[in-house]
Amino acid sequence: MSASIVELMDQLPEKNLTTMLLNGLDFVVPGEWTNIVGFDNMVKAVTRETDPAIIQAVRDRAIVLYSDKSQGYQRAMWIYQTVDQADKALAAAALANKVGDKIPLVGGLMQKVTPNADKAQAIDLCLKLVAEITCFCQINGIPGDSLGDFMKAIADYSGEELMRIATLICVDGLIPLGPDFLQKIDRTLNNLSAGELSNNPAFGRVGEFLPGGNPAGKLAFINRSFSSMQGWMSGFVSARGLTPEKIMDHIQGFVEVSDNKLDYVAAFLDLSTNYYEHTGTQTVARRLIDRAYGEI
Amino acid sequence: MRSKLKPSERKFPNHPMRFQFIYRAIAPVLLASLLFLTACGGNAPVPPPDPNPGANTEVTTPATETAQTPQKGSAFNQFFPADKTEGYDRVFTQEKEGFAEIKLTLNGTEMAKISISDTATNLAARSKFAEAEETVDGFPLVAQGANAHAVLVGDRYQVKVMSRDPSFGPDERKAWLAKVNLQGLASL
Repeated sequence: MSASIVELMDQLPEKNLTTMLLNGLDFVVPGEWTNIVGFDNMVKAVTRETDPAIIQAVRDRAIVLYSDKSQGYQRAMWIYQTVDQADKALAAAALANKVGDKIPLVGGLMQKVTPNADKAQAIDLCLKLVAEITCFCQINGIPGDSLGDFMKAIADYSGEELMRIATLICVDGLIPLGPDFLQKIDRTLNNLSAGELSNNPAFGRVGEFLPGGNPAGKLAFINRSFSSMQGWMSGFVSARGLTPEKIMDHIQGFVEVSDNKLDYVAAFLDLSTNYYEHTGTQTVARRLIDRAYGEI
Repeated sequence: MRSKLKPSERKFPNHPMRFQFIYRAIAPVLLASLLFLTACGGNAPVPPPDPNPGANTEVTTPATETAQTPQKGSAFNQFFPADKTEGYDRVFTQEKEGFAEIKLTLNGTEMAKISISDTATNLAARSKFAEAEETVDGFPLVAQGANAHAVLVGDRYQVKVMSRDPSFGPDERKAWLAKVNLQGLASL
């Protein structure tokens, strides 16, 4: 974790496959996400300030806070970065094959992609869900004086936070697992052993930050997390009439597929985009700037 | 309960992004998270060690600058204006070492944030109050930039109101500073 939050924000891509994906999913949470790149731009967006002295003071304070590992911001960034399975080589290959503004997911590019089995995909979604809750606590603490206050805070999601959850549901849920993705995940978790979880590659990457102690305890925490969020995710999908086909209609604005190979599209997006890291960087910066602005 | 709709909620008036749904949905897992964090003293498993420790590190000043132990953010929560004050919704948004923050929304629009911070972690924040010409409840008041006003309580705790909407101007900021229990904070 060597880069400061200023560098991480300054180095965010203005346009890549990840931003194309997020823009393509704007219809799910309209207007919530804009791709703010550059730390000073985030300072201006959050504070609405233009005074260079104040912007400098906020930046300096944010750097101090981020540098202190005990504050939790670096840990949250590490989680956001690690939970994403970003394959830069695949992303580069995809862009090299770009014809016009579309990525042709055919031929050689498709051969590089291997769809996840349903079980692996279900575990991947659950791990990202748990990562989100963990990162929220690392970044914001546990706000308020009661559990009610805390849950109002986490339910207050907007902007890049809301876009991240929406993308999770679409790209890691609906597209690879279909409209009954929640039931599939439920069945997978019910039949999953701690040993199988330990052998899962995604768990191998991020499992150490999960609550629960041993793999059995971590599996129990994953189960509780998913059970708690299942109803809300179901409502999120039904309120928007989300279906794999509807999502594909929007994604096909930039990914061209000859057949409706949803499995390949999901795997391609999983390997070539890093929406958790991208939006996570913006979330950490935003919340850090909020705090720095209050403290200067 | 008064309905406060966010932009996405206005397009989906029945969608379950309202906090009541997520309240019921995630209570068990968040309680588990709370227990996990408190049981472990807030220490989640640490990430792998930095392969280049010290590289690109821009600041060495620690967050704690004085011998004063920073107040926990939770100590400040009781002094914020109550929920539904003048019709504003209040959400606790952050609670960290020496810092707590709330958000004020009106009709689904974020209007302002109010923070209380312990300047024991950032002594430089006190200097701007030396030239203060106004007071709130007897405590020095300054404007900071175009969108914030702050008071210093007990020469230590900074209370700041920061506008998030253009309609929430200087008069509103000063008025809401007065709604914070500054005397109570001074006795902390």
